[in-house]
Amino acid sequence: MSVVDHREPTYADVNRDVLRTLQPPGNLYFAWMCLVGLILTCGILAWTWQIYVGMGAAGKRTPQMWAMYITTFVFWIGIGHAGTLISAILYLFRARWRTSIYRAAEAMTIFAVMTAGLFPLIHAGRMWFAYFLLPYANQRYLWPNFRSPLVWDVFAISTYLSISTVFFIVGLVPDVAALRDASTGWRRRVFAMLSLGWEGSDGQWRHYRRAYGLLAALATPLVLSVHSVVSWDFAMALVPGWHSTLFAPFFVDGAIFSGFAMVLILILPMRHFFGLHAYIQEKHLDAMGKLILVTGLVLTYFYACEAFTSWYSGDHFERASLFWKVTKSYAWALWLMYFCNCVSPLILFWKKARTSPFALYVVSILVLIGMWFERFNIIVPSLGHDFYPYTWGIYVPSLTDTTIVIGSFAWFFILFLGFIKLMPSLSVVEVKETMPAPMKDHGHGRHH
Amino acid sequence: MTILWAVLAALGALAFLVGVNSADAASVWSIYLVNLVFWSGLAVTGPAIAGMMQLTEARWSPSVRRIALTTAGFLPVAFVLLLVLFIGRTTLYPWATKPLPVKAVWLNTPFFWGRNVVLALLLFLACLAFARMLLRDPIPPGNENERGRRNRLATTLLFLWVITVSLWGFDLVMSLDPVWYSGLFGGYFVVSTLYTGFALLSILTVRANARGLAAVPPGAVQDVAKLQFAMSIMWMYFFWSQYLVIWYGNVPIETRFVVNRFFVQPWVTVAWFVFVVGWLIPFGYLLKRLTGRPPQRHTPLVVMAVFGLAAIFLERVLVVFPSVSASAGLPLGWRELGITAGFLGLFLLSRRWFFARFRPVLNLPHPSAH
Repeated sequence: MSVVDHREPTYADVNRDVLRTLQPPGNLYFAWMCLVGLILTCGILAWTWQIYVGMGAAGKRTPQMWAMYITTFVFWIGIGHAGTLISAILYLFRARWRTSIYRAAEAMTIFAVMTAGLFPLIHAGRMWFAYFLLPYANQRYLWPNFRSPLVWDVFAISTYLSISTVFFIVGLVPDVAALRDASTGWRRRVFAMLSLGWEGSDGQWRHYRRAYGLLAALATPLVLSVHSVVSWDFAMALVPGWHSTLFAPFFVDGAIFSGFAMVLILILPMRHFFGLHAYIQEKHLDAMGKLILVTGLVLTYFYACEAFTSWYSGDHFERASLFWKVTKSYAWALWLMYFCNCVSPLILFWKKARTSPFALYVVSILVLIGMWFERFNIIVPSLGHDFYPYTWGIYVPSLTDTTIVIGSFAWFFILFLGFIKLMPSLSVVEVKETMPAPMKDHGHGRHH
Repeated sequence: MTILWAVLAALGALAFLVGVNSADAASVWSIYLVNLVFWSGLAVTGPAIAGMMQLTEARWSPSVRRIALTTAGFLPVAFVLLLVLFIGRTTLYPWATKPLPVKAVWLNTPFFWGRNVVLALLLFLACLAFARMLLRDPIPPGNENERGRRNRLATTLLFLWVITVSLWGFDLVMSLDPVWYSGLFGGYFVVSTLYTGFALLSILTVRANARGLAAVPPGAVQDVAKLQFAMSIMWMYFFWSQYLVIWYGNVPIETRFVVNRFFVQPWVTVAWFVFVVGWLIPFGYLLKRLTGRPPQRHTPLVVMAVFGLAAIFLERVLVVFPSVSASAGLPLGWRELGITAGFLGLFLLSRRWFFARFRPVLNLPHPSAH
């Protein structure tokens, strides 16, 4: 059926429409693949160049030894938050509107964390020594410092990636079984392996539901813990602008905010190009818009508390750091962040904006820009204006680090583009669960 | 029972009047402040919870939404009691007599009391208007104008609630020690107040069922328990977010506050009591409760809610008393206990007034499929 006509889909429509997304791609898809592939190639070349000539190519120099890479690392970890929130927390809250979007959001989570995981390697320079981060003893008696939040990061992010991946795979099992039944040849063999022998018996469903609920409950605290730990990379240090008790919930909220924006960036084109309007309806967009609005308002509250406390502390360095950020070299980045994160979401107070794909798309892009700059504003200006005037400095991005950062976006999108052609990007099972069961006395499986 | 609550209120007033004119006025004003923020927090959080349910289109229990509104009866009393606190400003707030030049723009008597009184007035009026609006007939299907009006009022109420309760944290409590600061303290105050709101809502829901005023199904009671559980975790998360950063940073200006409460008797015992009774025991019970089918008996839930309320009350004692006086002891004198009993009496009396004034119908039909 052409679901753009907005009539209520049937069970058969769901199967057909979702499986249609897996058909061989067209020219437009290949054009997008070529574009992101080209950008990714540039990113890989830039990284190779950086490895060849050294970290000087990245534009990092004292005092800003954490710059674009750590900014982008935190950004991608943040993006990875919304998937688990939509999958786990909204599942526990029985928000049924999540069914049409959670699969894409979960995939986004995994790809975002995979992208984020590149940046400690890129940032460290000699990434072949990255295993030093792992907590084990070695022959030189160099024990990892368990008091370092950077080691906490390794635990937090690897746990998050593990649970998110398991959650994603478990959610896929019934749909992969449906794909297995509908395919032939080597595809059937691959899907049969991935569906873990699923036959849809009562017993399997009972265990599946229990496992899904358990994983949702396990994943929920991780939504809080991962970005809290990332925030402590900064808050534990005494750098003015970093050492704040506010950072953990502030980072978590910002992560969810940016994650929702990225979900919209991904599902709005999917809805348009695959004709999924019957499944990703206005009410879904409305709910997503509301969540962006609420998380944006909470973020504004935290910005206000942060600025207030810097001033209220009476501490000379805190006040100087705040004044410098607001008025000096990086002021443009700060005010851009305030506009994108605090002002632009306000349009979502109007329902017309919340249900307009165009308005949502524009707001989502602005939010992503704003959230990237939020991390930039925390890291770069704070390091550039700390306690000692002789260490003050200005960071200027180089072509190399900028290309690597842009390349990371290409890496993320290439993974996602691959996913939507390999796996069902909507959960067939859960979408059907939200629909009335087909009635036998109505022809062609229709329901009323 | 009305007479009993009135006697308690009178006892509280007497204890307060005797206490503020005694040599122990600092302790009396401290317990007054603790009670004021605790009971006022409960009063404003009920309508705030109803506002959240309105905006999220929560259909799981219309009765619970109305039960939450019934705490608003205390608001007129809370406003008068806030004005009375002004009299004790020089006893409680050192900056009122010895201004700190570096913070004087914020911590000065006219601006401090002006913003807190005006915001409290606006919040209380919004709560009462929202309660009046929601206690009218349910919105007929298709009446989007009425729904829009309620949503707008709920939004306004929630804005005012977050700002005002944060300011109670930053102003009324944090500025007792004007040197110490924590950026999250306002948010922490909001979250801990919300925890008390859901704990009280659990008690009121079970009680309304027991008295036949409502017929909230076990599934909906379970949902209230879930929210109480979630907020208890958020409370501990907000506490830990502050504690860990302060401990790790080890900056004297920050650690002083923590050391006085977690490493010095009698406050270290109180702190452990708050942690165990307010979080650990409810966490264990609620985790067990929420992993099974909704139980039919709710007495343990009420006990956990009382634990939560008692713990947050003591947590308020813990943050207020050592700031006002370094040598302060536990507030167990007859004046402190009398004042607390008086606030309890006033809260219960004003809730009765609310029932008499608005006659809320709590027994509303619930959705069959939960």
